[in-house]
Amino acid sequence: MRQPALSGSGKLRRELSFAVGGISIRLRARSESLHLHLPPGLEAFTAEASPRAMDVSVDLADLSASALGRKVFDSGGLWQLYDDGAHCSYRFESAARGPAPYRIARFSRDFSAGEVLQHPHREARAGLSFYPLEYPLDELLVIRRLGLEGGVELHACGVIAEDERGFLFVGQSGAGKTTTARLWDAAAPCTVLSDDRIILRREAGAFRMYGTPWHGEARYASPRSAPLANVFLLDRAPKNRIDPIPRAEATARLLACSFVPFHDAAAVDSAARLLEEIVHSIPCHRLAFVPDPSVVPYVRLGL
Amino acid sequence: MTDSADSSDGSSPKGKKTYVKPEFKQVPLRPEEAVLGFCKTAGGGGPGDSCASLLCREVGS
Repeated sequence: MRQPALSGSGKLRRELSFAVGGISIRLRARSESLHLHLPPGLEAFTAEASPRAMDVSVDLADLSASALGRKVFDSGGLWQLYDDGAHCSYRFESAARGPAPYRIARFSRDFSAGEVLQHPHREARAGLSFYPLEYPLDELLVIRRLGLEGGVELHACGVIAEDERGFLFVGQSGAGKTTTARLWDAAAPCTVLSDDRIILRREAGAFRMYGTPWHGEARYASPRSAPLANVFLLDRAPKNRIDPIPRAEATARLLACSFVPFHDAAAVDSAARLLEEIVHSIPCHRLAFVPDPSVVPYVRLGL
Repeated sequence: MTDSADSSDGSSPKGKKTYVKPEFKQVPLRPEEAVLGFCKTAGGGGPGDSCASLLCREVGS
């Protein structure tokens, strides 16, 4: 019998688990011919499934005639969200893959369990391994659970300083997150958690920031975490400058840089409240900066 | 460096709050980034790259 070959650098398995930002996910292949692996960026996030892990079964299926209920949201891109009253279903389609959906992810409303059905594609048909939560599905699932557990993901760069304080640098694309990650990595003993996505959670009355696998151009992706000490809203400028920022504006800018299920009013409300709490309990400033190494000591000495 | 600008109560020396005219500031939301609608991965999960999946031909925003 032909042995299945590896697709990607991960190990071949029928069951695997990982955790991002404290959200544990366990994947199980239903049939013996299916093999799963984690993509390289997620391997560092491999972790034993927690008792509260999201349990996801994986199988291949013909998805050309799937009834999913009412359409709730259309991302305008790869996926649409449906609701049949008992389940939420993400339907993925792409013109490049034909008219039928290539993946359907159906989950309980509390996102504790679900199934991912994949249209039989070349890798699976050949007995090769694949990753069933291919981006953006893994990130979509994590942000849904975060919304239910009191957490939020931000478009941000996170740095753990030598003294274990967590610095968060927030901004949309082009604000300087990747530049900030590179500058801190080069100039100071620190750990860069991510150059693009950071998860914030309230834990035991304090706020903690976590790295994620969804990195930016510089590919920083660490599963570590640290207490959140300072928040900086990034703006490029001709001169380094740290300024106070009104709390309302800080909250609004953080919300605009968050990855929230915007189709879910309760989730948006929960995220806004969490960000407001963060702004009231963690020092938040506007950091106008020159994209050169001078900004690192400027921030470290200014705090 | 000071703490957030509105962390004080805005009181005058006599204890009365000084009037500050409300001001509207627009904060841009970028839906194309916020909803994770597009595939921008390179098999490693990073949104900063193009997709490396054998079947995916989407171009990320």
